Amino acid sequence: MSSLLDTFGVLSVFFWNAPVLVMLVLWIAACLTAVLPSKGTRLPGGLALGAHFLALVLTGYLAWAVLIYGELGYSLGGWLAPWGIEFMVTPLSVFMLITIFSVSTLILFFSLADLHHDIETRLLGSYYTLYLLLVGALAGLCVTNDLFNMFVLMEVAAIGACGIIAVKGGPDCTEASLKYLILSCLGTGGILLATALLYKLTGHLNIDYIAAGMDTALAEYPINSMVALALFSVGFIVKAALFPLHVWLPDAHSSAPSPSSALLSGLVIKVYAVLYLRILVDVYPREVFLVLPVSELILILASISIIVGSLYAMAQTDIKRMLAYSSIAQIGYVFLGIGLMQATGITGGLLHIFNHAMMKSMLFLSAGAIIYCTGIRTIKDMKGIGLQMPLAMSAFTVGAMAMVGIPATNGFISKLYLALGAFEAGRPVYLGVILLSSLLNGIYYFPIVIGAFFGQRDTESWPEAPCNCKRLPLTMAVPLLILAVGCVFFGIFPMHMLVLVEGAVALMLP
Amino acid sequence: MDDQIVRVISRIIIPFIQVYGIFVVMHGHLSPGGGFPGGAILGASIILYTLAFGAEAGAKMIPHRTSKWLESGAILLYIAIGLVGIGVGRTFLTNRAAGFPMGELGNVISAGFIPFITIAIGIKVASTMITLFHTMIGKDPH
Amino acid sequence: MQILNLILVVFLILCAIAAGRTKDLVSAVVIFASYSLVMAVLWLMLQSPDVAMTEAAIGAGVTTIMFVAVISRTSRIEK
Repeated sequence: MSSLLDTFGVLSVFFWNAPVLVMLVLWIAACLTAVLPSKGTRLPGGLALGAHFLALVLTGYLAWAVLIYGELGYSLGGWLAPWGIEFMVTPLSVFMLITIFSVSTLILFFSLADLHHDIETRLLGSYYTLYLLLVGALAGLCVTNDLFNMFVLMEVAAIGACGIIAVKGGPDCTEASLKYLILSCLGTGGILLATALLYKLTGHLNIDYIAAGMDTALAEYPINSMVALALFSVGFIVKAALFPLHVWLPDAHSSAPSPSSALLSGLVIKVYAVLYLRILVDVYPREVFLVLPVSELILILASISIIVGSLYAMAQTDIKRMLAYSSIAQIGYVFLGIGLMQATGITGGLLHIFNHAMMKSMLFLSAGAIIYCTGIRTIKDMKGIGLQMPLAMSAFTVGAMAMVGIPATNGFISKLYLALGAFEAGRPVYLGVILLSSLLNGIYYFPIVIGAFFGQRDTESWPEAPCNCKRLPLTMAVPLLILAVGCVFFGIFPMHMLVLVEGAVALMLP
Repeated sequence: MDDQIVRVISRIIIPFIQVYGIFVVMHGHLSPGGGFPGGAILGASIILYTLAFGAEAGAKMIPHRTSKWLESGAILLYIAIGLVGIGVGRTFLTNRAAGFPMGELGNVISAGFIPFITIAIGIKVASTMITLFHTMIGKDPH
Repeated sequence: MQILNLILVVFLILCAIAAGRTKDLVSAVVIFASYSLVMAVLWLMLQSPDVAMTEAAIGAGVTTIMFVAVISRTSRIEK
């Protein structure tokens, strides 16, 4: 009996510290995978999976706790908010945690088999280290309520992201990762400067306290606080790869190993969009946006991003590069929702984060599965491949349909909400943007699907496959299947996620 | 680099650099400095040794395996010290309330876990410097 | 004190320009090391001795060695 009580006590301590442990379990596992032998064992991968499962359990607890208590604060070291670092779990952070961990667990599962042909065996342990560091930092970014802590976690995430791009070796990956490193340093540099300005103006680093001091700061030093807003905008737009500052994304996401591409495209750029939303809504009072045309600017950039990203994607011959350009278009939707500054629009944008994380990681993983089994990377070689790899190509088809926004897939729901938001905000122009981009998506996704299932393949130009397996390995098939089912499930039953997102938006926009 | 002067001077100067580095690490809670500068100074002393006596001697002094383990072990030490706070039922990185003795102001062993945390940071920074340097001068695997 | 500050800042800017304009990379690295050293003194005058200590150890010491190690594996003259 007493041992049962002890177990219960340990568990309650474990759960009570969930806001920090959700990040820590991944980082402890990252330290261990760095030193454990990776040659010939599955130890690092298993450890990483175990950490992800623990983090999923903790996220489940946090979701339950937020449902009951509303918000969950946690002060590191017992130092209360204005002095210490504060973690704040809100419905928005729970939503992001669910997105991050459900998708990254599946990608990790996929990577167990896929990585062996892409990177050297002696680097496998380091890959999981970087992966866990990156995912842990993303989780920390979702729960932290402190601007400087946010900056540090962004740097950790940037190093992890550069690592999982460059790990493949070779000039392409190194160049792409260096480009990302430099541009991302510029972005975080802007954010650091903005943080310093806000600290100088309000005397606080905690977001709630900055928000409280923002009114006086705006009255006394309007230029400084607006410069800070501009720096935040540039920094987060670089990190999230919105149109004019997207140049690093196509190279980085297409040359990396497939699991890295899925993680980077599906999750990493979205987290910065959410942080930008928090800065705009939580820190700055609404009156600023009547003076400064920030939301107009975001709307215009998002529209250009949506259309130009799609146009670029049409011109690509490499499948992963096409998917990378498509990510630029899709991050435009998220920013479109943010720019509408209105409850339905933001709901659509946030919902698109979850939906796009699922479909884009599924598309990248199915492209990775095709590369793994056949070695085909170019779109015109993919004719007739649907009969050879039915599962991967079916997943690709579901993803393509979700991208276009066909009803009964999850992409439809978020586009519907974005369109409703555009109407409610009185800007039907953006409805046209959404429709046009759906059309463009259809133009570049459907020929691949049709060619793969009904095309005849020419047997001459046949690249060498990294693996001569007839069937897809189970560890690669299962994540694809789960993601495909998820895309359809959340298209037919969207209310679970919708309740969470609408709760988060209702808290942000009273 | 086969230079007698460099070797003799290095042999004399390295112990002093190391003592200074350890001093900076140990007095992190009392004077300017702390884990990061002290660890950097310690790491720089090992790098100087490698420069003066060659890569083989440097690799023999701190092998790559050891520095790798030190790197991860130092972070784990930091996390473990932080987890003590959770273990006694408070939050992560709790210092005084978790029962760490405060000691007397001005002593080296005071301020609860701060000296231990600076030591962990110092080990981490020093071993990272060494690992980076050895990786950079090492043979390219490709 | 004011004059010393001025001299150091001017020297800092000159070092920064020179480091950017030098074609010989090893010279650029040495100029950069002196830049870091002046910066460390400036940090000290700005009342942040721990940053000064870090700048002296990292900026002037370790990064210089790292740069030289990298240059020794590529070419010495900027093309």
